[in-house]
Amino acid sequence: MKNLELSDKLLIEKYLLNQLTAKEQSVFQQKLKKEHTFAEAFKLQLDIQQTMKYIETQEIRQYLEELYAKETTKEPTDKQTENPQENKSDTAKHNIRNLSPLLKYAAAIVLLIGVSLLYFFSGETSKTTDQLIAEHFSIPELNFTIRGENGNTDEAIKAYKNGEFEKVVQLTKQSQDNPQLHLALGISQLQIGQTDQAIQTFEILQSNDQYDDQATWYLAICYLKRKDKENAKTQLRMLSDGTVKSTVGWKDKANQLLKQL
Amino acid sequence: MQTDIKLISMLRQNCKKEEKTALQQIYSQNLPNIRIYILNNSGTAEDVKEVFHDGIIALVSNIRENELEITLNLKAYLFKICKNKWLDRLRKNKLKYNLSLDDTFNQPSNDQLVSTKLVLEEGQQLLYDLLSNTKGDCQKIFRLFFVLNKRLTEIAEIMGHDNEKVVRNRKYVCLKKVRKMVEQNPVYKRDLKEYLTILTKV
Repeated sequence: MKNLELSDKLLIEKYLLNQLTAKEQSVFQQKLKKEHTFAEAFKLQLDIQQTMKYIETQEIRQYLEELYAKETTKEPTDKQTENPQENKSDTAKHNIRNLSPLLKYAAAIVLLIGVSLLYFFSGETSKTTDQLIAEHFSIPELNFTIRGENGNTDEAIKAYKNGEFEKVVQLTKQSQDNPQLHLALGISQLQIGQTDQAIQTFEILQSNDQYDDQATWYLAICYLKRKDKENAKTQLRMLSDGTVKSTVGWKDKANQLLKQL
Repeated sequence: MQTDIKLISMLRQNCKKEEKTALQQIYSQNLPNIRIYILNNSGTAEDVKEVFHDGIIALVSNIRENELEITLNLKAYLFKICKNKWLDRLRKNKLKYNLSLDDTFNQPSNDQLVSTKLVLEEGQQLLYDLLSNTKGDCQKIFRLFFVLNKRLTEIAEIMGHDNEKVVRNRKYVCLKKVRKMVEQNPVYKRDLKEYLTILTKV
């Protein structure tokens, strides 16, 4: 199925959130009738919404049944058993108050030493994001299958093979269609420190079935470059849990890196 | 005990524990009044349970979908929903009852109707198993968007993403995964075909 334009995605989102204006409603209805791709994409999300709400309702109903059972079979509280618990708790509090001041200071010192050791050791054993990138990222060799579309394409391919990443970025547009060139562009941007642009490039590539695993991996590397471990982990988990189906060991690489994060 | 504002907030969060705590309080605070009303108006204990549970589900649905005012009095609102549901039932069953329809009886307005389906289509039943077992970020994004009606900007904030663009991208990766699993299924294909046919006829 062809990818939707952003404006179409926004229209569907607003419909499902009940936020369409009157004008947008009209545009939405027209698209639904005339554009099959739009209608199919919408139907899938509508089905997911209705199914998830159904699941949610079932879960709530089940819980309400449990509450009903509890409400209709409530037993009186046993006041006789409450006091022994209270007495136990009072004794414990009394004991704590009488703890020698010397012991309190000793506990504080042990805690301080423990925290210091933890800090010291965690600093030594956990790697920096730069170290992780150095360990896990390398410029891949790309086997380009496109040829002679235009002069710029050939030049860009040649530049990539020669490691002239600035030139690749100059010659390749983000809006172009070829996913191989897109990948080369993203890697080049990453290599020359244009991390934000690289993120945008890989996000676009993530919607391509053949390259979504690689795009996801390199997105994780981009986030590491920004020292954003949380977003990096999010991308890696998509490979690890199969949200993004992966080939050629990307899942294994993701698992390995996740362990170190 | 939580205030109404807090209860509404708890029902809008992506946290089952908070949801259950809120439901528990709503349940125990409101069951006695609803029970008295229905039993005094030709109802049975079974009617009380069914109407009360339907009422709570409608309440939760409205809280999540309609962004109800935070000045709402939950007790009065829930009572109104349950009362109308009960009177609606009586009307439909055409029972003789010793009850005069008082001036405060309203036809159920749109914001009191349950918007969830009672029965899934065949194609949706296929999604049922799939979505019940979805885990991780896809499950989170789907629940936040499709059930809790959060905008993508809110979801980005909740999940710690840079912006809504990232969330939109993630959502479409998750949707792609679901689509791949259902698009070849003959039942789903048939439902989709029927839907597309109806659209062109309207």
